[in-house]
Amino acid sequence: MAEQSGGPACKYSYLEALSIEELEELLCASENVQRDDGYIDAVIAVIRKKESQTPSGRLPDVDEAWKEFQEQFNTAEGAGMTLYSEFGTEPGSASVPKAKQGKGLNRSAWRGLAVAAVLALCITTLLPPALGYQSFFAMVGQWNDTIFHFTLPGQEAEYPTIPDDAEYESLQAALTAHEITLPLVPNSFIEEFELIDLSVTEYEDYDRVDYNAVYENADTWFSIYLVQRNEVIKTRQYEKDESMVKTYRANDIDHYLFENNGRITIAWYNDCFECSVQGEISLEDAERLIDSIYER
Amino acid sequence: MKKNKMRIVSLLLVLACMMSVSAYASDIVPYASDQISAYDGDAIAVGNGRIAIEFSIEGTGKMSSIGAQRIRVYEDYHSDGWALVKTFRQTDDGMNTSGKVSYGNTMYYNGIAGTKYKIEIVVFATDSKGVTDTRTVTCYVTA
Repeated sequence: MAEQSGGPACKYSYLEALSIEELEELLCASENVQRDDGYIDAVIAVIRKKESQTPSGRLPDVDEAWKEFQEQFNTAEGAGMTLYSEFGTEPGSASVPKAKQGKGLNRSAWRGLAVAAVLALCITTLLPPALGYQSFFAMVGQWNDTIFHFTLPGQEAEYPTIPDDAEYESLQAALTAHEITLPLVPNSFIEEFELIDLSVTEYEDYDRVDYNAVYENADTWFSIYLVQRNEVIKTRQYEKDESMVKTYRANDIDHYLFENNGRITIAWYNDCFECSVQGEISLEDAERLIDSIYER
Repeated sequence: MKKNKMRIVSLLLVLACMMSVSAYASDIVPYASDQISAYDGDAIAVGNGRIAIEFSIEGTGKMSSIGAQRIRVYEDYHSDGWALVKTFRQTDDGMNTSGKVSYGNTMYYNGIAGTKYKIEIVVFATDSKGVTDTRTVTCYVTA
């Protein structure tokens, strides 16, 4: 625990607050980054300290471990063998099998490599355009287009005081309580459904309120999700499949319709509200739902 | 000569395998979902080194469990990379709920003012059949 005194103690003092499981995660994570030995030692020291305070059997007894080594590994059959042969016997030595050392590629192999390289070049340059992509590397990046999201400039809006833990009988009632007068909720369309769940979640630090109402009838269901923001920092990511995005314009607002594995999603922006509806409804019903929002 | 042909064929087969791995890699990239409809995650500094980590997720129906599976906070150690300093787990309070279509919350981490952090948020939804889908959002914030 010597590393925990003086400077390093301040640097790694936060480790004391972590559990043994979290410290073990830190050790695993440190394998992927370059880290000074002091850090590793500090993590191990804290684990040892915590283990000695409340032993869980993680740390084996040294005498028992030595006895096990003598019985299972240091045997006559294993004489001359090493447990860690892949590291080589000299510093900096490579773990190349001796039979392969010093043997270069012959002419035929080089010719084969050249053929393979030409073939790879043809595949990476000719195949992607044939499949509708700009380049081979874009084939991976192209999937990002299956996520639907908005990119809008920041919009300022009035932000009323939110009642705490209030319960509302309808989504419109929740919006009215928050002094929202924008047309955001379908009118006649939801009369065919029953409200089965309504939640209002406030994110104080984000000046954001989420409204989620779920409706169902005997045949199907849908969910309305409204995000009210004072400032647009980031929008939600919407899952979508390969089907095309359709635009339906109503009340001078573009409503985007797309599918997520067969389920319809409608997404649109109205003032400071990011709005969406998703559920098992037909395209015709989706358009009827949109029209219903603006009927007065 | 026969040996050389075999080598060339082997090389081509290796190349073909590499190409097929690329195709599968694209399949595991988030691409529609039977459990997740929409999600988001973000992290902002709220003063004195405190970071507010927000997440929200909407399922494709009522989910047996929905929310954040894991939130990892990494501290910037500059040339040494990122050090994991905090993990919020699915079992921690405020991370998820049951029997709901959507869930969201804000978790807090007390960092060091002026220090840069990387936040990795994994949201998830598990349907009534026990099938889980996840999405990961990574964001950066200076506390």
